[in-house]
Amino acid sequence: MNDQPRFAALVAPMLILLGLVYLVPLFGVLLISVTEPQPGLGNYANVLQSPAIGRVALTTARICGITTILSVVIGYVLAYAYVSASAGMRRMMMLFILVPLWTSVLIRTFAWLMILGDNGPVNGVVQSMGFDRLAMMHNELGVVIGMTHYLVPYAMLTILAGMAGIDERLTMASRGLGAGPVMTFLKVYFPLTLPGVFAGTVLVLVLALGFYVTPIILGGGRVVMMGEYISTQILLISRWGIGSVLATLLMLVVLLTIAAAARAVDLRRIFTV
Amino acid sequence: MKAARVEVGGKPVGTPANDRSGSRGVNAPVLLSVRNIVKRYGSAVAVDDICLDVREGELLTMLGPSGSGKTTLLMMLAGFVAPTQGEMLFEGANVAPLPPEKRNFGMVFQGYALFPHLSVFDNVAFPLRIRRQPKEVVREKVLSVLKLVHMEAYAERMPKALSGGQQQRVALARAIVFDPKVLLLDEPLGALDRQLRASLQDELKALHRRLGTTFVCVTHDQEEAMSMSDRVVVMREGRIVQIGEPAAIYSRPQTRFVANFLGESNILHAPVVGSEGGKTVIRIAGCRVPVGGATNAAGEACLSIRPEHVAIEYTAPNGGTDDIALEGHVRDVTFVGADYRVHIETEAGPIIARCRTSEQARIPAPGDQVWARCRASAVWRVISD
Repeated sequence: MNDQPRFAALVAPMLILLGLVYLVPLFGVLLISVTEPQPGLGNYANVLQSPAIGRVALTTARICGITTILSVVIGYVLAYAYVSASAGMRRMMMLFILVPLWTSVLIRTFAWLMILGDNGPVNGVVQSMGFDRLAMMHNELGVVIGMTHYLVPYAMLTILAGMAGIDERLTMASRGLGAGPVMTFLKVYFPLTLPGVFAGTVLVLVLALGFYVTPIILGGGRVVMMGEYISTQILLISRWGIGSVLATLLMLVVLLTIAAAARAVDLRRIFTV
Repeated sequence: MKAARVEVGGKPVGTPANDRSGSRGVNAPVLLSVRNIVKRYGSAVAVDDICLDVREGELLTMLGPSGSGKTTLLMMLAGFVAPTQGEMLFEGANVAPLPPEKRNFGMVFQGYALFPHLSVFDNVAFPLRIRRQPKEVVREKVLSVLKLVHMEAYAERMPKALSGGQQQRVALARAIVFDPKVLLLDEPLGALDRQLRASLQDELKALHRRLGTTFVCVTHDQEEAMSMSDRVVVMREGRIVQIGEPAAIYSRPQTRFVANFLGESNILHAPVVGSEGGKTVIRIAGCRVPVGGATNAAGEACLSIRPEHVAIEYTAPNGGTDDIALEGHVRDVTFVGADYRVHIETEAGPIIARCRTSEQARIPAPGDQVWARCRASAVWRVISD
């Protein structure tokens, strides 16, 4: 008895839907990038030669890099605190992690605008201590803070999935064989969490590359990342060709990141923990 | 259970005088001494005031059903669980407050706990590298200990590429490579299938003999405990019920629980009618029979008879001997290879007889009228608990 065709039939509506709403438009974007305003690879040549786009790409790479590192480090510490905490504490921690995750990114970004603004509480404290006001808004610092806040739960939950799968007896064995708590962490625990850290890094980096709302609001037009730049090209100045080239390239970078990650570790194992 | 005060065969149980000498470690000095250790989890008592001396070089097994506190006791010896109360003396010094890494005991975990990110070689090298041994020494020691457990060909493998038995050997190698004075083993063969278990029992025993290290082992498998150990500690509900050599515990169980937990036992009840020469005299099947074992109380005695001591007769035995004969009929017969297990319904209660297949002139059948016969010396009085 072969149930394969019947299972395939069950999955078919999903595949058709995906094809219609996802693959077809995607192909459309690809098509525009080589046909607008005239057929050929002219758009790609223009993009690669443009110093303005180079600057945007560099800004995007820098902000994504810093944000990813911060999110993964903070996520790791939170995940470690979580697995070490008592059951009651864990419930509390999970609530504090999930509630922001369920909140609209727009609301969270505006909240940061309030907190980091010139007359916000952070600057209030800074000024009351006798220092000058800090510029934390409409610059890269603000964007990094807002994006990190958004991405930490993704990093934390991915790393946590890996940590939760580590057999407690392994750290016990390490202690029993003569390694103190610090050596046990460095030689046994940390190496075992690396696949989770790697998965978290890839996930966060991929999400960061496509950020749009946070850089617009917290960057205030002065920090332009790729997402905003593409949107400007298409919506404001109607350069569909350039916009779709950038979108294609951005997607290529994401796919390459995932492919590189897949080569380094068994992604299927990580995401099915 | 006031086990400590009960006397068996006129001598206190668990003292060297009660053990057969000749086995290694039995008369050796005490290496590790557990003094009045208590472990409570809230109001639950996991280990209840245990005193135990582990002698240098012996293979001691703590045996008990789950929940008997044997694993908690082992975890306290290893330093992973802090005792609520009491002391643990190792070579005279109290090690109870020390963390596991300061105790220098080897430990083999249930499920082996090999580091999955390290090769077999690196797993075994781990305790040496932690102790900052020079590279050449590490290499030499790791390879020699891998050879000892017949795993030298697998040094570069990763643990998940090994079978259960091979993982067990690597775990053992890793635990002994730094020459600990005590090796703690938590259900070392528990995860293996039956056949492999038997061969690894022999290997473990040979390794123990060769190293001369003190082994403290935890198991719930009585066969494993009996076949490997110099001494067995039978535990129940957080307390020690009996300590001694396997053969001594088997032939002279102190309580009904021990008689049933170590091997199989027929438990019969008979009235006590007197005592003579340190033995209880009971009345069974119309005869007065002096029996060894517990001498604690008058009233009704609880008796243990091992099935292999029961023989089957098809004619009424003529009296006048030391033997006890209980009349009855066969209810069921089970063939188990070397033996027939014969269930007999006798006048004194149900009895199981284990008869050698090779020695039966006639195979008993259900309904047969038989006499279950055994020597009076095979009847042993136990405390009913």
